[in-house]
Amino acid sequence: MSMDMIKPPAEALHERELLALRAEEQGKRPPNWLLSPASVRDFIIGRERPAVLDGEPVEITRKFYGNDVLIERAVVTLAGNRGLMLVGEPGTAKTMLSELLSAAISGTSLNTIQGTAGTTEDAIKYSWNYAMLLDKGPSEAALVPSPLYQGMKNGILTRFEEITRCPSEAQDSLISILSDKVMNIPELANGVLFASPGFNVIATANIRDKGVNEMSSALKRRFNFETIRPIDNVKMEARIIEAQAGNLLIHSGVDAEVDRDVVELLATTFMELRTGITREGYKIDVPQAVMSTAEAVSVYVQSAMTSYYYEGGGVSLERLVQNMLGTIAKESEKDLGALKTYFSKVVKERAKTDERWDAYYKEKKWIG
Amino acid sequence: MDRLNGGAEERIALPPGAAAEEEVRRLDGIFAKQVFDLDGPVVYFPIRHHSPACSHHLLRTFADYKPDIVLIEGPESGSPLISVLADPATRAPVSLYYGYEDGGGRGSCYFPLLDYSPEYAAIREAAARGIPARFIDLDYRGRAEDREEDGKASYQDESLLAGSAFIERLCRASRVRSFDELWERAFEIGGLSRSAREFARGVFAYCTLSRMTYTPERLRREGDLDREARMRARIEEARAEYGRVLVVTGGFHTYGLIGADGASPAAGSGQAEAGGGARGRVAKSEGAAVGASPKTRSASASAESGVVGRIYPMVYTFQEADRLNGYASGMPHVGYYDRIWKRLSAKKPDSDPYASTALDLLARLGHELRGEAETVSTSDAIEAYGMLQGLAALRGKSAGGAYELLDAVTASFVKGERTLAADRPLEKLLALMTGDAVGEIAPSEFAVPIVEDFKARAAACRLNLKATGRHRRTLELYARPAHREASRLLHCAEFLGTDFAKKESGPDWISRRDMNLVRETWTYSYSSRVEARLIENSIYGGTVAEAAQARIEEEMDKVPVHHSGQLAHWLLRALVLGLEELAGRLFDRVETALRQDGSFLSLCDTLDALDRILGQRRLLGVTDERRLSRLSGEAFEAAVSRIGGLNGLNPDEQPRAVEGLKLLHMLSDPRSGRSSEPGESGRPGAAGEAKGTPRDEAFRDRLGELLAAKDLSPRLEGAAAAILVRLGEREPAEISRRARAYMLGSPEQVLKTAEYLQGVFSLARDALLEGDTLLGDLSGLLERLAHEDFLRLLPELRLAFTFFTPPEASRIAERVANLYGVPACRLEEAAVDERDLLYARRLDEHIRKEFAVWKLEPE
Repeated sequence: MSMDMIKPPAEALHERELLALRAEEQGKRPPNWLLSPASVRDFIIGRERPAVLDGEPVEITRKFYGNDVLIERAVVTLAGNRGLMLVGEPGTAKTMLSELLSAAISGTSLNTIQGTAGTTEDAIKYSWNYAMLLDKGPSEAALVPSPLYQGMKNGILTRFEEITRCPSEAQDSLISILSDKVMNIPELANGVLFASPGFNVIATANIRDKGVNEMSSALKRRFNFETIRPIDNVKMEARIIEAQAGNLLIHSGVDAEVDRDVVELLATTFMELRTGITREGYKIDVPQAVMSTAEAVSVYVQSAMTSYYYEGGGVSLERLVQNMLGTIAKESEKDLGALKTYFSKVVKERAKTDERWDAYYKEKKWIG
Repeated sequence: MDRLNGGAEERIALPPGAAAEEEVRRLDGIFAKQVFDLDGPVVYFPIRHHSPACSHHLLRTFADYKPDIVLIEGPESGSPLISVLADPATRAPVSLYYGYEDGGGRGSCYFPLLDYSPEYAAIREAAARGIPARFIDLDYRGRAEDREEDGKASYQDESLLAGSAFIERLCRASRVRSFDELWERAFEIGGLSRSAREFARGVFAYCTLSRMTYTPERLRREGDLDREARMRARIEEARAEYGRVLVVTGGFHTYGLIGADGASPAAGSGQAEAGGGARGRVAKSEGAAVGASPKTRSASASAESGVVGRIYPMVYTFQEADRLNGYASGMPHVGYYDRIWKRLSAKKPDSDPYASTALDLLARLGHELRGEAETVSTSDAIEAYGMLQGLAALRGKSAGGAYELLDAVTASFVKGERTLAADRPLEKLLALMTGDAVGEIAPSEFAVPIVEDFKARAAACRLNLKATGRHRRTLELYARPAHREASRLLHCAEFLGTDFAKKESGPDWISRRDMNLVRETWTYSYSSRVEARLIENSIYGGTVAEAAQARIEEEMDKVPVHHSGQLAHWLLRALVLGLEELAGRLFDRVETALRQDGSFLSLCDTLDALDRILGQRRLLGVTDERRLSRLSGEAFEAAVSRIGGLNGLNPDEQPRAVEGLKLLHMLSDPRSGRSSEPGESGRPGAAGEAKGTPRDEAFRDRLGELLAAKDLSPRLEGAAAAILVRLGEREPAEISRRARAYMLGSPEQVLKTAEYLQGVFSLARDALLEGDTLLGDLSGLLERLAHEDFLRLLPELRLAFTFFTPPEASRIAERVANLYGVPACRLEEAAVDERDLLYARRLDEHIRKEFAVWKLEPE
């Protein structure tokens, strides 16, 4: 793993696993796929039997936690005629899943359109190198291909991030491409680009953005939708926070062990504030801010880094609570109230019987 | 194969690794020699209840083995019913219903049979081959609370199936969601391509291994050992008679039946035999009872155990058979597997039943969704079918089963985020996979008369008993005699507590609601539950009407003889249910009770009920109109004669008494014209009996006497005065005069004003609107009243004014405004808030101070 990237792409991060799976591949593969559907599934949700690369066993780890059946459906969708649309709350690992799928199937997760409010049809299809265009007229050399163009040409997956952030007219340029698998380039003489086998689109959309740029039903019809739900299991969430925070810390050059107890406190707090129900079954206020696993990871990493650089030690609960404030009080002042109540009701109650929760409760002073 | 999983707590560890393989080899040996030896005297075919693949291979085994008799795991007293089940006129889903009574009360058990149940396939095949079939299991298994759900237990209990740690591990390792998916993959889909022997070997090995996760102790406690002992005994009997015996039981029991269960039969034999023996006798005697005279309601009891039981053939529904609908004994997606079985068992068997069923369902789903104006295109179905095949390949199944179909529809039909609204296609698919069929039992001597009667009447009324789901029916009671008939049947079904029908809207004569409506709307749904309830009612009578009649009579016997009101209520009810014969007898009883009844309130109830019957006599089918009129007149007179006794009535009952007076007034006053049609004779208060008839006079006199009574309660006083004024007997001013007496009286009397007004207003609201006296007095009272007293009076006063309609209330407001010389709209304005007043005062003071500082003079 190289240290010269903040966040290496999935294919680099799991290079050995991918190579090992490719080496053992015997099953039937859809054209241009590097792995069979079964191996793609195994790559994402892990399996017990290790693969072998150069005589060494390579463990196939679980990278996505949640609904395994969803993964199977997603993989089969990508082998079919329709695109795959991953929808869900922010921070439910939609993007990560889309990266893993394209890394496993096409070997790269970098062929990506990053959707924004400013994305235009040019950015989705192709644009021109104007100096060349003026100099030599329209030619393939003067054409600047988009990731979608590349995907069609090379028969690989194109990822479309945050599709609902894009204006509707830009989204709609996908409609005919997805159904006909053809892109017309009227400027060129033989201006038709046929999609090679293996091409498909994985789009992600945020439920919180719903209604901003509502997808047309024509576009919806060209996708199979998969809804990714937040994890509803504290242990699993703690495991994800632990793994991802560990990874991020290593890449930030912070040499600190992940503190499991702290992670569990964090995971419990986030889950309870997200669902509005404590593990004792009481109802509590839910803050408006996104209480996703990804946010929990960033809270942990922030806290660990602050502790590391300023105190020279492991993550402290003090820093944890301080950083939590910034995450929760993002949207409105009221959210702070929700956290405050959470401490004075839930944490306080648990503090009576549990030392760790007691220590946690002592940091309530930072919430004010 | 009742429990294919391991008991969570008392599990014996399976031998690990090599030892496990050894165990499987041993089982293979047993299987070849003792279980599936097609040349031997007995072949044990292990099944899972309701498995199309098991039925498929069972039929092949029939062809290979050519048995002389087939023995089936099922309640043995049900054996005489096998001929009914095998009758081509019987259509699945059906069930055997075993109702019993033991020390702990009543209970019941179902033995559901679907077309694809191996047990049913065996019964039909035996009939086709002309060989006997018998049930060999115990009828009564004792009360196992955990096996019951909603008081409904099943003979094919698989409730322990899901959720054990063992099955969970197995599912996780095989990457399936549930035991059912695991079973489908391994046996339903994977088993079709195997030979019958291979298939049976797989089921046997699997079931036996899961049986080994139980301790003999647990098996005994669950009653399995007793049952197996019983079944072994039956098999022995059959062996003595026949050369080739085919035994069809759950795979879970096969190991116990062949006696291979080294430890458990030995350990449990003594007790098992003892228990089995005792229960066997019970079962035998029941069998005899059922077999001998199914029509007479003779049930046999066993002296030792005190269990009385009876068994009936009964319809069943897909809905009840589907576990997803919450019935513990069901299995998922019955309608789906029924389609699979139809293709498997067709004359030209389908080579890939799963694919064609999926195609069929996808097409149907698209069609139905389009019917609901959902945007679903054929391309969605095409995409789903591709997805189904892709998933099957990915999951290593040779064909996509129920779970792939569900996944495919989830991915291809659900557009957008998954929410309750977006899940409609899935919901619809699940409904299709459940199916809505209701079975049918061939006519036979075992049919329960009341059920037959109900079905015949329902068919005559054209009610749909063929499909499940709630059906809706609107009945035009007045216009169509056939609809009246249907209404009576539905009312009877409701009264008998069958859960068959529910009235959504329509007139309710009994509780006097919505009596202005002319149509009744009912929803109804037929199921085995309804049939079971009907069978339970058969102890009351052989037809629906008889049962309802017997139940009303039972209720009536609890009513004291002089409570004419309650009896009249039952009379009304009997008429609504269409029980004319009973109604005739009820008239007699009401008449007798009337003469003994001394309670004004009860008499008024009687009068009220009789009046309602009179008003709806055509609808209710009253034939003896003269008698009814006479009875009504008698009730009127009796009630009038009790008016004097109203003084000193319990305050709680006074409002009812006022209602009673109101009723009497209405019936005595020809001008009120209540529901009486001109030209009709015999009605009290009808045109012929104008003012001055003896009856009317009696009413006036009694009221006058009541009014003259000392210490009469203000409410009754108000009511009596109002009636007399309306009858023209007293001057209208009397009402305000009497009101003034309260208003100007001592403080205690003042507080009774509201009660008096309630009495007045319940009969004569116009008293307040005619002339200003009463209004002026009341207004004066309110001005005078201390705040505390006002608050005490307020609730009752408010109640008194609830008699007025909103337009009347505004008219009163106008009058009050006139009284004070202000425009009426002023009253609508909100009063000035106290805070505003305080604020204004402070502001004023402040400005004055400020003026003083500036040496200014306020003007």
